[in-house]
Amino acid sequence: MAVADFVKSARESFRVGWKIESNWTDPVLFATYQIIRPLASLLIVAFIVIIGASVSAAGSLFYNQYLAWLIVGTAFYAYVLQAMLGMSLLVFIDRNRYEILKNIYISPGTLHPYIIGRGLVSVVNGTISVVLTLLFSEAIFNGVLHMNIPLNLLGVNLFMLIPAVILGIIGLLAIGYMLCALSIVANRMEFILGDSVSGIFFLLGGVIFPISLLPGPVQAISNVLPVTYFLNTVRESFGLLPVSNYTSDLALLGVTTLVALALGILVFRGAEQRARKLGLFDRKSEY
Amino acid sequence: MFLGPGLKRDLSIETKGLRRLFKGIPGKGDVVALDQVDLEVYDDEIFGLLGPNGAGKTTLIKILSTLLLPTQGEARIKGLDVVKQAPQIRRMINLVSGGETPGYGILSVKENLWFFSQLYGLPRDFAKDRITKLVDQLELQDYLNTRMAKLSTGYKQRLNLARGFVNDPALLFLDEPTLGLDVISARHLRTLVKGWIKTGGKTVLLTTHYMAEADQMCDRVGIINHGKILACDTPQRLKTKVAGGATWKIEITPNLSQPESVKSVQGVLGLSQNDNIETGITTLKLVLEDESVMSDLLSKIRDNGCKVLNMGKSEPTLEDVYISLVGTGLEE
Ligand SMILES: Nc1ncnc2c1ncn2[C@@H]1O[C@H](COP(=O)(O)OP(=O)(O)O)[C@@H](O)[C@H]1O
Ligand SMILES: [Mg+2]
Repeated sequence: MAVADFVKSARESFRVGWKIESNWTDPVLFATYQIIRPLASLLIVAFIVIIGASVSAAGSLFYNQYLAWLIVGTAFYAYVLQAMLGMSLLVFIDRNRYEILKNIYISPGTLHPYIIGRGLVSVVNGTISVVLTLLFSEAIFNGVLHMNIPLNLLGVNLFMLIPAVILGIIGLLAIGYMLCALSIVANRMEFILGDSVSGIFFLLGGVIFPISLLPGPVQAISNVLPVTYFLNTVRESFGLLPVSNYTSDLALLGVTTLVALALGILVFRGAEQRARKLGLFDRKSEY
Repeated sequence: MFLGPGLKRDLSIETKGLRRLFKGIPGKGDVVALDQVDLEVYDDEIFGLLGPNGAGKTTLIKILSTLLLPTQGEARIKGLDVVKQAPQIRRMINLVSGGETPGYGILSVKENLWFFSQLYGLPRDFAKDRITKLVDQLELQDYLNTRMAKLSTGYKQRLNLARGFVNDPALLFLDEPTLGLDVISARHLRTLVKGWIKTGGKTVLLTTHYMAEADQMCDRVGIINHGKILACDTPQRLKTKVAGGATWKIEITPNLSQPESVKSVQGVLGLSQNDNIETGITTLKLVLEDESVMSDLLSKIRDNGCKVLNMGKSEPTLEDVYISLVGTGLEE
């Protein structure tokens, strides 16, 4: 397929996805999904930390530092959540509810431009959540509570942040691609796929606590996840982790992203072959 | 269309020894959905596959439209192999399945069509023109900006059909396109398809279980049952073939209590039975080897406790062809 045609298909898939998924027209839904949900999960953890800090009452500097680390991690985790949940349900919804999957599959680009276009919708939704979570956190913790958390939004190094975010997004889309592929062939698994994978990344990717606190063998898993290096490089851009590790973390993010891409392509090919063998592109679920 | 010797028309679809199995219920064997299907469909042809539910029509269309792999045998579209050359095939085809309404409910008719036009990479203005034209042809103009979810079933299916034409495919698969369609929409569809094939270089493979539809629309018809193509020719020639036997219409009352006993009379090739609930009259359509079986037949009908009200020889229809090949009518 010519690149121009691919881009056209992906762009239109993005537009369609945007219209279907974004809840702009419904302010309540919009607020719930883009602001309240990410913020709520952040606040729960943050206040546990604050209470912990006040109980132990020691080293408030350390706790403030940790709080900033936590806010940035939770904020950028929105990308993970949006991509994993969005992409794992895409096939299910378009196959069962809209009966449209097989018609997309027999178009020249099959599912590829469509998945990428739809994945980019998750990225935009993720970006909105990230920005809003950061702004609200700043407003609440520093503005209202005067906690002096070292969350310097204007001081972020964009030259570090942008490459990290771009690579991170590519890695996440690659994993989302895999989830799409799995959900084509999965039987009654679609609903837990996105939740379990994003849950694993939440626990093992260093979102709310450093992976150095995890048991050794589990750390080994963390060390091969792109999410780990994504959050490291992002925090380094905010000056919340030693900047000297940035280059090596970015390289590892690149490598793990490449591996995820290669795996994504392999898994997708396998799933496509199996789906054609069993006739799954228009399978109607029994539930 | 008859072409002189030596003029071979281009093959659009070709299958050789096509076979497809599905895993059946555990314990029972595999389901044979297609069995040794050899098929040739040519350019400029509307080819109809006529057969009952479960005959294998959809399975064949799924294989030809690259959605499903064959278990055995070969299938080619314009000379391209459906297994190995699927990407080249996909630009040339499209598929409309009756009874399905693919599309996003919250998007308008126009937006849904636009989406698909872009999946096929159509240039902007070109796509706009084509959508306008299709919308006109299917009389969807008034609904251009209506959300798909708000359309009635008939109009949703018109949209589905418009989607099938959006890339102006060389080969269009129509899987029971008029299933559940109102009379007017169905007529629309038939007119549109027949007009479109005249634009040249097109092929339509249509499946149906409506006899009249196959008879009226198709240049050639293949009769399929249990995954096997039993006969394949123009409707006219198929009818002439059975007319060698005798086709009879017999009206009786009440209906046959044991149709099997009539069917098993020596020389009866096929029997279908249609009950008219209002009048209480049952019409039997029979295809006989020749008229000599008539006395045996009538006595068997009387053994069933039925009274013969009327009987006569009838012009063979596609239904008679079907009855003689399959042994029963389609509606049973
Ligand atoms: N995915 C499937 N799994 C198992 N059996 C199937 C599947 N698809 C079709 N079949 C079986 O194959 C046979 C042919 O089905 P189909 O091609 O849908 O027939 P038609 O379209 O003529 O009604 C039927 O017996 C059907 O039950
Ligand atoms: Mg069917």
